[in-house]
Amino acid sequence: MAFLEIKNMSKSFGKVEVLKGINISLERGQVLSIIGSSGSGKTTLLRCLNNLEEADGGEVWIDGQKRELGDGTTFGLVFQSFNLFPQYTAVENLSLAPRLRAKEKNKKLKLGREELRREYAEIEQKAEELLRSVGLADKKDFYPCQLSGGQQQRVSIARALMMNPDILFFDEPTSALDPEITGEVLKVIKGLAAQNMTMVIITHEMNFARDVSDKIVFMDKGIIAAEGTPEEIFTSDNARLHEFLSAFQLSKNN
Amino acid sequence: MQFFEITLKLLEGLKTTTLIFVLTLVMALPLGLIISFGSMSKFKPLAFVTKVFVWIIRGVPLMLQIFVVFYVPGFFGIGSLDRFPSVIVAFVINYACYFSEIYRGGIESIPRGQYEAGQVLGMKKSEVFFKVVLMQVVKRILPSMSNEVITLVKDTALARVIMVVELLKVAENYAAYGLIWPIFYTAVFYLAYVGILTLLFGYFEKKLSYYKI
Ligand SMILES: Nc1ncnc2c1ncn2[C@@H]1O[C@H](COP(=O)(O)OP(=O)(O)O)[C@@H](O)[C@H]1O
Ligand SMILES: [Mg+2]
Repeated sequence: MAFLEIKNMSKSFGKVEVLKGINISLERGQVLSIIGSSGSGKTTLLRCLNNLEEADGGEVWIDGQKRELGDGTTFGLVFQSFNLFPQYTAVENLSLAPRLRAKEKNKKLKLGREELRREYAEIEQKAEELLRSVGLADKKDFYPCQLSGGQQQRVSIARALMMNPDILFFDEPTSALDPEITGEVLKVIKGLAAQNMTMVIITHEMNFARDVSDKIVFMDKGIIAAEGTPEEIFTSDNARLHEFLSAFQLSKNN
Repeated sequence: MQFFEITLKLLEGLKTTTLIFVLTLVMALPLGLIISFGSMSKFKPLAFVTKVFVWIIRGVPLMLQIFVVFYVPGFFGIGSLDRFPSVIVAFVINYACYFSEIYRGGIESIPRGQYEAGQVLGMKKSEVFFKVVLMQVVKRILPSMSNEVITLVKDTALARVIMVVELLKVAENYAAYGLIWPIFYTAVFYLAYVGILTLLFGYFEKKLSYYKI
């Protein structure tokens, strides 16, 4: 059994069936890219996996265990629109949630202020390390409004990494960015792939998907219409996939 | 000499004005938040009742509400409030309803992504509200709150309709003896009051200008 198994996931909004039984499996340390035209259900799939939407049916298994709320497995999600907290600096964006958890634990176990301060210092240090790893050590005290889109997205990736996620999900991480700065974000994601981070990435960057992915799935109208290695996907003779990819070539060349 | 005496008297009236102003703010600010939660509740009957209540309070003159609080309980023989507490009750309810609508507008203007980002980071709903959303709401509603608070300063003059002697009432009492100028003189006090508040709100807005929403 693979590290991540999504089994028969379904979801409807009213009468509209957006996910019609999605099955996906992914090995630990691998990268899966999801491609497909707009409205095919990609975002909904990620939202269901991250409990932002309640799936109607289906199961998620991690490492041979069915995933349930509070089982200790952690997913990270990077949004298309970053969703950084505007009133906090970069480093505060990273440390906010971990500090709250540390404080809660400290209170529950009555560990005392000294211990809490030590934990806060650890969190701070880890946050700074992560910001350095995405190339933003010098921007740690900047507010989101003082950062470019690419820098904001890198902060939000670092923020997701703060929780040591078992799997990191991305929903079109570069779609809100100017073309000339998508590279800096894609580079960070490639860096994570090189460190064997398990990732699921929705993307319209076909070259990037080809380079970084171990596996690509093509979603069409709520089903997985094709899946395989980048090699297989980009040479497939699946008619819908072919249409999708050539539409992409066209828009790229214009 | 007379000018000095009258100034002192007016300052005494200003004390009552200030008391109405402060007590109203202290109670209406949090109460407004509770009412805004009611009007945004997913439990439809509660949202409906709250919205009707807010509609009534905002739709009827504050002066009339002061009369209602002061006189109506007596009609039903359930004991009545004194003049000053009546004013406070009417003001608190009235302003809480106005504030609740400002809060609601502010809260609903915060993008859903802020809540979702908090949620996927493992924060609880209340943590997301108090640590992430509230600060942004405050920043966003500060200009409308400033407006409302300035209106409150001048609305305090309505307390005189049930003989609570605030600033304007003190001046009016002189007019009864043929002395008109104190009435116009009160403008100086109101202007100074509002001037200070304007500076204060300007300061807060500046303090929160370090980030953009
Ligand atoms: N909250 C929602 N309510 C109703 N319909 C929705 C909602 N979210 C998404 N949809 C619909 O589900 C379909 C798939 O959307 P989405 O998952 O965002 O697709 P993609 O990310 O592939 O573009 C679309 O038709 C969209 O209109
Ligand atoms: Mg989408």
